[in-house]
Amino acid sequence: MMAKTHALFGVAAGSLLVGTADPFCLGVAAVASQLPDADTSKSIIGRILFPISRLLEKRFPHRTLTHSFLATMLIAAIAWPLRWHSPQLWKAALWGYFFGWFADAFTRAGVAAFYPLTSARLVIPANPRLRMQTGSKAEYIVILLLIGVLAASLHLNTKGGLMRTLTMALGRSESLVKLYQAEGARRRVIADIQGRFAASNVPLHGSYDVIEASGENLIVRAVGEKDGVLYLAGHAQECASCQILIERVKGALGAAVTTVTRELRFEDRKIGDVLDSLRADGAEIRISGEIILDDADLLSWPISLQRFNPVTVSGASTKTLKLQAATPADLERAADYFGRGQLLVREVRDVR
Amino acid sequence: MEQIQIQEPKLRPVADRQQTDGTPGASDSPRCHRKSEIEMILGALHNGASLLVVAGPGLGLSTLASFLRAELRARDEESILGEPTTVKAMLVDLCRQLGLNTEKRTGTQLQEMLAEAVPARRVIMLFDDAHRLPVSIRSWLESLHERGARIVLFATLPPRRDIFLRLPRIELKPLPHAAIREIMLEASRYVGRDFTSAELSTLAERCGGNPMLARRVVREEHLGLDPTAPDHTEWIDGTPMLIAALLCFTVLRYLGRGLHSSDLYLVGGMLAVAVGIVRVLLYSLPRKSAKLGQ
Repeated sequence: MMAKTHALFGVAAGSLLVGTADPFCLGVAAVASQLPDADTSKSIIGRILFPISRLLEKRFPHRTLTHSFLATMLIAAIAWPLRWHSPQLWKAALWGYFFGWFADAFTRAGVAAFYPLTSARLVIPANPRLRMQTGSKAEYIVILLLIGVLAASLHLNTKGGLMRTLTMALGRSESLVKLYQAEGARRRVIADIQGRFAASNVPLHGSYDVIEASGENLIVRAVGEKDGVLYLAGHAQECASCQILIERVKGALGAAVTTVTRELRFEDRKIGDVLDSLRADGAEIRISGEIILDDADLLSWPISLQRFNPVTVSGASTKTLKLQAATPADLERAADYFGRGQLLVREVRDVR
Repeated sequence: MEQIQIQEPKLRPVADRQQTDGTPGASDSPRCHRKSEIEMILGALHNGASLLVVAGPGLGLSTLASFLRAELRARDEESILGEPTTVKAMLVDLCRQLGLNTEKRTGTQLQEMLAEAVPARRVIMLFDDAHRLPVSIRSWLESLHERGARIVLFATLPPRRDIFLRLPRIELKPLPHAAIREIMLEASRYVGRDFTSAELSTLAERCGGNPMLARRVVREEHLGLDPTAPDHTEWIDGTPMLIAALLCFTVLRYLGRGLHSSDLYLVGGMLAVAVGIVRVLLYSLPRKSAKLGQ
């Protein structure tokens, strides 16, 4: 097999299995994929490592010691220090080396994969006429296929990896919840929702910012409307309280953001003062948690059936406010009351 | 048109060479790479046992028989070497090796003469290509063996019956790389061409430790022939292993169910189908033919 086929095999497999598009990682995989051929001075790597290749070719037939599981384990051990720098680099080196020699199992002579336990050669498939010859047309077809796999892998990896892309293609809210959990602290997550409003059955198709995940459902807001209305979106059969019923949803990553989360406890403080302390310029504040207000008989809170209610109230004289993705503006009604509470405050700022 | 001159290797049968050179291992003789096997056979013969030596084609049975005979001669042990021809011709040849008069004797008479002489003179009987021996000779050898004659049969993949099943068996393994390399160097000297270490290392991968193939690949390379599919039998079909490794991905389906992740469950399902397709395609490929050139 030609050096470029080995390199492509190593890089494509490394990219798929490590899930990276990092050029340095892929470079390491490409170099590692050449190392098995250090057992012959006819190869490029053999010429570079001449004293070693000379020694190896005198003692071992081609594609034995360096094309084995034993050598792969040795490389894994030798390359272990790479893990301290980056585990991905180590994995890239390992997969690059493994697929560098494993590709030769598809050639006529095969590889002594279980050397030194046995010198018998591992071949795929069993029929030698269907296996490749170095420089044959079949090898060039394999090169084209590998380029295709590599391109697809790089495309997938820049979009978050194979698994994420596949699950996204299924159009389920659960996939978007996972995307939000993985990336929501660094990037805005945009949901392209196809479905209908639960109350009116009016169809909808639009882009929404994911504000928060609530179980397997999403709290969303129309893109660009910073103070816009929130909706709870989920699949009809799994979410009875959702305002948007999803038929299909696709996720995408939007602008970069920074997220700071802090916990706040207070006792017998005026809520208005608490809210003043939360406000921050240019940041979007989302509050979750619980506030208990004493002597709040007169406090009433409107409930909407067509949108998500970030604040829900229970109790008579002592009222408990349950918050989820609420803004300070949502709590203005309670500003003059005194109370105690425990809040989780999330500040999201756009990175400029 | 350019003419290619092919210099045929002038290899003589090792047995002949031993007779003229005197001892095995003389400077122009090939080295014996099966010393441990020879020691094992000699040990068995010393204990009055008979043996069957089995190997695949080209693994050096005839060479081993020749070296063994030379070694027996060096130890003053009388031996006769039979090679399958017609029954009568082989019996005549065996009798002549013992100096017996074969004139006007029938096959049965020759067998009786040998049956008397072999135990009496403690002759060791060696048979090369024993897998080609006719049933009548095999039955006769069985009776000789029962009467205490020491017999060594060298057979290439013999059938699982009669004397082949009865005798204790040694199976020859492929030769190590150092021996194969030496044989290839020797063969390259015969064809008058120097191969580099890298070339020998590459050629060795087509031999599978088989000395006959080692000589053949050197000749093929010397003649500039395209490498054919290797003929050795040291293979492991990796197709089932590949499918088994791919099947491991289908565990995602069960992980998805266990972790209540419908995404993982669906992707695992899709991978299971993909692996199933790969499996069907791989197993539908044409099988390896037992005949050459197909």
